[in-house]
Amino acid sequence: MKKKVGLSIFLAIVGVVVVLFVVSYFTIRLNYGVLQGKVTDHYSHDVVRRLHLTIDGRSDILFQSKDYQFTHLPPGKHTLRAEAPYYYPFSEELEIKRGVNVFDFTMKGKEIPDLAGIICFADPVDRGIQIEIRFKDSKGVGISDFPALPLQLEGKLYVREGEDEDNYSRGRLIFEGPIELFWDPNAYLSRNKGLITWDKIQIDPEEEKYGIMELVLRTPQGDFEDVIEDVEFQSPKKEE
Amino acid sequence: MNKKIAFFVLAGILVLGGGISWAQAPLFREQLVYSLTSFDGSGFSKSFCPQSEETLYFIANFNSVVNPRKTIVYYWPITRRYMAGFSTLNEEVPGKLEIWQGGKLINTLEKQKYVLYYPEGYWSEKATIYLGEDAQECYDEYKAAVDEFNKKLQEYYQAMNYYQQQLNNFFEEVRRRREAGETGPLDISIPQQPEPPEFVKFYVTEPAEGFILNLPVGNYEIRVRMEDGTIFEGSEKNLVVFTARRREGVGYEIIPGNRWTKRENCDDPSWIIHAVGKNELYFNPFYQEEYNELYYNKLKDPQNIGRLEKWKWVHVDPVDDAQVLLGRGEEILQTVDKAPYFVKQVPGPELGYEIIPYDEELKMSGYQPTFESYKVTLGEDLVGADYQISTISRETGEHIPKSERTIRFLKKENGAYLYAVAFLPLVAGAIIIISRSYRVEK
Repeated sequence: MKKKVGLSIFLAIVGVVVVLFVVSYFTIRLNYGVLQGKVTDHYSHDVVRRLHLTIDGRSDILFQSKDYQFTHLPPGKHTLRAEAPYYYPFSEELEIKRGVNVFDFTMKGKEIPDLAGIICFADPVDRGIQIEIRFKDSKGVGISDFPALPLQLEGKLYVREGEDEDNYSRGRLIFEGPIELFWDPNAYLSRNKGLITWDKIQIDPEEEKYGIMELVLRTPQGDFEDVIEDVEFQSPKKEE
Repeated sequence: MNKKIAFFVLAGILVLGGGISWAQAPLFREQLVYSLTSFDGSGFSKSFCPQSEETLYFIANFNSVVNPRKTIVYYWPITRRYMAGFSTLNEEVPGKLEIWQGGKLINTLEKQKYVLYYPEGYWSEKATIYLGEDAQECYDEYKAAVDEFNKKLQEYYQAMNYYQQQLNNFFEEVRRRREAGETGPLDISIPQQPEPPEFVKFYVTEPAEGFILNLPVGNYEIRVRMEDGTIFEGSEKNLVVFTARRREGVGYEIIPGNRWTKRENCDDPSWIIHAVGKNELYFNPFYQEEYNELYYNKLKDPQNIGRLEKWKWVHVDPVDDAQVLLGRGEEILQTVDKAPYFVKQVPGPELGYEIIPYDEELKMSGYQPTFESYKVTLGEDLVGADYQISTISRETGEHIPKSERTIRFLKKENGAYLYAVAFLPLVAGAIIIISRSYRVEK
């Protein structure tokens, strides 16, 4: 008898808990969807600056962030649109469900605005000779706001022969070919950088201290050339 | 043994776990925040509202400024507040501000130019807001005054150079004539030192743009609508517009002479000022208003905390052109005028400072008064328990309503007996323990 009473009390408690759980689930659960994710540059995986996102009557502008979030989206199909200066517009139809929805995407760069030429600088670093590529516009001013584009850099490196800085000529060719490119997100002007590793250059460190580098940058907006006439071969001293 | 091992393992996890959490760098998030310039009864409080706060608070029927900005926000666990990195990112959010009430759109605001005008200078609390063309006019006036000051300063430096030359010539002439054997007074005019120009007394902030809110008491919602008709994510906030419950009486800020940096307030007429022994109290009377504590604290900074059921007095305007009276019953013991004071640092192990009247000598030495106040001296001649303090208007000679406060002197003579009272429970406990142990032994 006692066992039956205990069991029925237990079942009653379990029943009440289940009812409370079901009621709270349907009352507390989100009646709308949240869309969040990451947006990055297709080529560099860097931040897309001034990115204007819209979906279902809501919008946001990202200036320095890769993360976006939209709240209060009614469940159903919505079109996410993204636009940023010098990028191709992006749009995607998404099925938004109740709760959190995650969607990551990338933006493809369209152009470097008013690109008229390049200015390059070379510096010896631990791994090799690093080349900074700066873009300049038709007024000769450096361009700081631009997307990453599919670029190819080719170069020829000669030993600089001559007694002084004003009187020199091209000596023997020590490198010719494509140069590895990488993206530096922290740089202001020269986010595109190239690197010729030391193992690709054979020099006599006693006699050959400077070089002349001829560069060609192939971009979707055309080919641009520059010559660096004071490439240092002296690699920085490594600490013991 | 097993218990000991379990204890040390648990302690290790807690310590290491704690260490890991301490080492975590704050998470930086790009957020829309509302930069706020809120009228606080006297001047304007500047703060910002992060995403974590859902409601903004403003005083009714006064202009306040809200400005949606995109910035970097991070949580700072030491102060338990979200912080904004405006120096890293501070981008304007375009669009118009919609104000909704009860599900209806009641107004759509466009950004307006505004400046804050501080009539008593940059450090003063009192400020007025100017909008639109008036704002530009006010700022131009300030710029013209600063330019005029700079011009006078240039002239002053030139005059000082000329004065130095004249002074050198003067001394040279004196030396030459003395060496030539001339005795007695010399008939040479002494060069006059030029007076430096006085700096512009008022201050005006640079013109800025923001949405000007001026609403009657009520609950509202706001949001930013972009030009393309979309709502800016994170811009939806509730708005509580409130007013003072009471606007009456005088509140006092009291600077105790024996610890001048620890200012205290006596705002409610029912409060009593307790004083012990000889002291000097510096009273600053203010007109005041009483606000809901939660609303007012949140107005000053949306991340502040407060209690909805509590009210607080806020000093809004100093009582000018008045006198403070100290009396007992009908008898007036001291009538005090407002005067400037200077806190002079005194080397030594004792108090470390001395509050002295600000005089011409200090002024000539280039010092500024530390504060201005009504000094009431509570001397040893004041016998008895309760005295009254009140403020009278110089113009009418009448008491300003609800400015009376009671000063109660606490006697120190028999204070040692209080220690004995504090020990009574211990004594009682000891008696019980001894008597019980005695009974157990029996």
